[in-house]
Amino acid sequence: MSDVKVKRNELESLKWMGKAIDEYFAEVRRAPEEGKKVCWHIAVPGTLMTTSQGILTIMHAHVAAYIGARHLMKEVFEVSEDEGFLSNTCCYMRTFVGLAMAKVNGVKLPPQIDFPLPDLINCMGECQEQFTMAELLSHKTGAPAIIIDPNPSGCVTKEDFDERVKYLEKQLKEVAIPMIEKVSGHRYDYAALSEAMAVMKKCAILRNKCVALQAHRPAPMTLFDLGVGLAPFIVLQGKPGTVEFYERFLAELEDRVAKGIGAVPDEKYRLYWDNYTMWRLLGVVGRELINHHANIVIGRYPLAFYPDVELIDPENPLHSLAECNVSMLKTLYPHWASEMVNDYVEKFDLDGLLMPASPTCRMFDIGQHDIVDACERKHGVPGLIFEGDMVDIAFFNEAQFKTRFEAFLETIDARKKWRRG
Amino acid sequence: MPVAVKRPKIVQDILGRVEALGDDPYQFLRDWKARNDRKIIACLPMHFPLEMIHATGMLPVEMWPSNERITIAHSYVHVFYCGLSRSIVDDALQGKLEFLDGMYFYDQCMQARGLPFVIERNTPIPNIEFHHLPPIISNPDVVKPHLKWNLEKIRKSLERISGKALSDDAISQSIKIYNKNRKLLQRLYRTRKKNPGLLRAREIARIVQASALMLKEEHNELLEQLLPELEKLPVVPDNRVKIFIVGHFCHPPRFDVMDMIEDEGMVVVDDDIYNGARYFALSVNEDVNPIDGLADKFLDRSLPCPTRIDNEVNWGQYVKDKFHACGAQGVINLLAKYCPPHQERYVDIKRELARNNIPELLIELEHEAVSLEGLKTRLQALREQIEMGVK
Amino acid sequence: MSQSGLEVAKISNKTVVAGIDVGSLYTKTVFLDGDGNVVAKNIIRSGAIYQGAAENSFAHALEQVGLERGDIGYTVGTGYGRAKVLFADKEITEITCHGRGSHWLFPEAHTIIDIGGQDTKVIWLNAEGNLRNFVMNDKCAAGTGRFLEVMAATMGLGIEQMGPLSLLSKYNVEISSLCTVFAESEIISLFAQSCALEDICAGLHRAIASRIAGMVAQVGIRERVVMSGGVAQNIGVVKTLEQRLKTSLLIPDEPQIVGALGAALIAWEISNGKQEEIKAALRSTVFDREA
Repeated sequence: MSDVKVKRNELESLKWMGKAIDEYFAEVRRAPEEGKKVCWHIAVPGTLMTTSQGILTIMHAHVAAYIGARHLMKEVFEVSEDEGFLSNTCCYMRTFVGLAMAKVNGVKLPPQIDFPLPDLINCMGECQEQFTMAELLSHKTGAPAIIIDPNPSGCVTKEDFDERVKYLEKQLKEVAIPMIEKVSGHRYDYAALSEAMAVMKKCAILRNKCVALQAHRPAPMTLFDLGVGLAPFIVLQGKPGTVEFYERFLAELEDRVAKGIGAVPDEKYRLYWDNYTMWRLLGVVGRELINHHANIVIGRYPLAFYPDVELIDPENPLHSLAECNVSMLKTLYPHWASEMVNDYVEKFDLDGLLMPASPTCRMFDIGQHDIVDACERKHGVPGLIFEGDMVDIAFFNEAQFKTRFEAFLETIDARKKWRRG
Repeated sequence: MPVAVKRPKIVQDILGRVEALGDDPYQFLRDWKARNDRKIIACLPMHFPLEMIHATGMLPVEMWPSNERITIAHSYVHVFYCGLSRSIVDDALQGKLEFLDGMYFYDQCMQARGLPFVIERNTPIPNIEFHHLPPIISNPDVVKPHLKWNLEKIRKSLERISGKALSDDAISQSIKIYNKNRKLLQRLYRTRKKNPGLLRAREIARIVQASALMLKEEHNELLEQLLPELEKLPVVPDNRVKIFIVGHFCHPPRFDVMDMIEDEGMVVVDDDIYNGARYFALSVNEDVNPIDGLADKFLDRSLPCPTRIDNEVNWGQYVKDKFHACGAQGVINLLAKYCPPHQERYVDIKRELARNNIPELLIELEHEAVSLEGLKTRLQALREQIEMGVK
Repeated sequence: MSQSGLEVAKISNKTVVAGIDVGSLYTKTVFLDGDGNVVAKNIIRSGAIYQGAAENSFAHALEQVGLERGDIGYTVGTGYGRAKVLFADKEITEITCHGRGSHWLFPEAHTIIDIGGQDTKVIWLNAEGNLRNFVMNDKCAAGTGRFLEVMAATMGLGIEQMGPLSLLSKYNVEISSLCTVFAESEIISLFAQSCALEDICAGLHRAIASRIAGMVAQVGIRERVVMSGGVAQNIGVVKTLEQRLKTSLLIPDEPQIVGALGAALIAWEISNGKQEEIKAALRSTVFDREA
């Protein structure tokens, strides 16, 4: 293992989040004894459909990140392997279905991830794999599944957008709500949904201010700090303390900006991160970054969590939820991403693009080559495409990454000289 | 192993024609276009409403993988994408699809979503479009109005490309022609079932593949010549091991592998592949408004598709029932490597077959060369497993 | 784990049959006499010319029993080079033969894991020793005998040293790739980080065990489990696999010869008309050279 030569500046305010998640997960684990219902949610949007109704909810990518960051995937992958999943199958599917099957088959799991089996599966997926995951989970656990089509394909016109919102809202009303009512045993509480949404909106406004601060040199946080802070948009939606967390988070970042403190000491390279955060790789990749005084300033995936605050309308929660979802899905499309990246290069003064691609996931990696090409042509900013995975280490080669990453930074140096010269 | 039946010249000629067509669709389509002076629109396989394209007078063709190694596409798409998606990009970038007047994509899988971006940005092919065909069909009543909205959108797009109005009557006319093709292909399969030694698995798949590339009227004519000739031929006893093939839900199978299965002493008695029985399994209801008819076919849950989500489908049961219905002795799963929808369903298929003691072999196929020697061993072992009468 | 031997007996019944397994690295021959006893066996390098290897191994076995070529009643060829055993009466795949050989050695076995020079197979047998299902790696040499040879060479070790050495491992080292090329570069970078050889060996064995476990899962594990093929001689892989599969493995004394033994057993069954139906069934195929 390579030694850490430079130390990252930790954010004090983020510590609350780790504790809040641990407490929340403990609550989920206690659900059966406390007579509470548990929902396994698949996709970024829509968790508040159930969290606001007192149904304890865990979300697939969040659990996978938790498992990946703590290196707990061994038992889970062994179970999914025993189930017969091929190794290049969606790593989130292997994690989430593996977790369920471990419970069904009575396999002993590490206590932190020993969640109760679902009473309900709710999927408002962004991709085919998420839909299938819901289908498989439902078959294997016997829990009913809400599988909703948020229409995850590129929106071209206003007409498209409106039709998609209409379709999604109809599904929420006619498919999701009746099923949630059936499982919870009471009428759907729209007031509670509105309340949760209002809290989330406050968080989103503060969060967007945090993101804007990243334009400063040095950037006050890394993208992964932002990633840790996303729970208020998924399982902690509407929970007490989340707004206060974002207030403290923003204040700490503003303080850093005022004092000229960066997340990475002597920030030298400002990079963009495509794709999901690969939590399982962050140890290795993070060390490489910090040792070269490189920071991930901005990225694609963490911005898919309710970025358009003007669309969050607690007065009209279902319609608003549908609008937010359809709008958020644009991050998945290479057309949009290509424009967004070019925009970010200017806005956040970026030096290069890191483009991880996972052989188990197609969500973000379509068109990566063209996105890099477009950015090179317009700004002369280079990109590095490399293979990795959110959870499965088998798709990442540390030695190869290090060599290529260093060569990539050398390319950036050469480009900077050329631009100056 | 050659077929046991001596076939008349007309049959051999037709088989030769479809073989050549499937082997080089590029030349066939260029020639067709030059002869007919009509536009050609390519679509992703499986669910696109081809009848609507046909009704404009343009030729709809379903995309196919090339016979060649992928070269420049690997600078545009990842190597871990399925062979078809990489091949389409490669062909487009190499200028091999210059005869196309448009390409229609829809969200059949994750890979399909990004292809139009890459092709539009890097090739001069006109009219690259993406349309939404809902991937979840569990609640048909909720889905149908939205699906129809999207079909109307496709109609507008076709009117723009073809430069003329597309009437319901014209679509109904095309539906009739397509349904006729489905009936003729069903007849072909019935004939093969009675007399499996009549045609090789490759030949059957080539005939179906031709339907995906030819004007349907021309393919109907071809089948009308072929079928009576085949039906006249004597039934020959065949003691080879009977195999049911499942997989390749989207594009044509590897024809060399189809040959290999039969060269190893087995015979394919039925299949559930796209360029096979899946191609003509469902017809469009001619008694309703054509857009309704097309929507109803799309939402028909009797033919599950791994890219369409229907939480009432049990894949293991579905394949097991198909296997029993055709009297086969073993199942071969043809999995296109990096096809997530299939590999996710394979888990249940495999489990159910094993539970019922049905011999099964998984063959993962890549666009690139497979290890034929290793494959031969596995096919032989499957045959030995079945022949040694394992109960 | 437990082991079982393959004693060579004197010929008691003169109708001798042969099984020849031409593998990618080694060629193996086993003779059985009319009473079904093993009367000759040998293992030689396959080299570049499989046909010659088959001839040599066969000739060597003939010498052992003092018989002429014409005295051999029936010969079955198997293995990667089975088509090159030109004097064989029949070709049977190594999958069926490994199953049959393992069943003879360990009648209680239902799952066979065979890791040879170039490929890995997992076989499920029924109570009669017949093939129920199998998987076989389809492309590269990831995790096979050849893979271990390359890794040993990279570390400057003899292939036989890796197993015992790995048992001394104290620290977990993760090897992520089983691709021969990538794993080699990973090992070199672990060297650069001063990782101990025993930890690297143990990491490699864990990576292999995890891959094998994945294949076993495809077939489903049924007690008891036999491991055959050259890699079964590596105690490190065996121990790791036992932990991963949560079962003890049965290991033949000479794990490499199981395929040839199975081929000889099938030859014996055919020659003795014990399983007429097998003979009849196999005759229907294009591969039967009798017809």
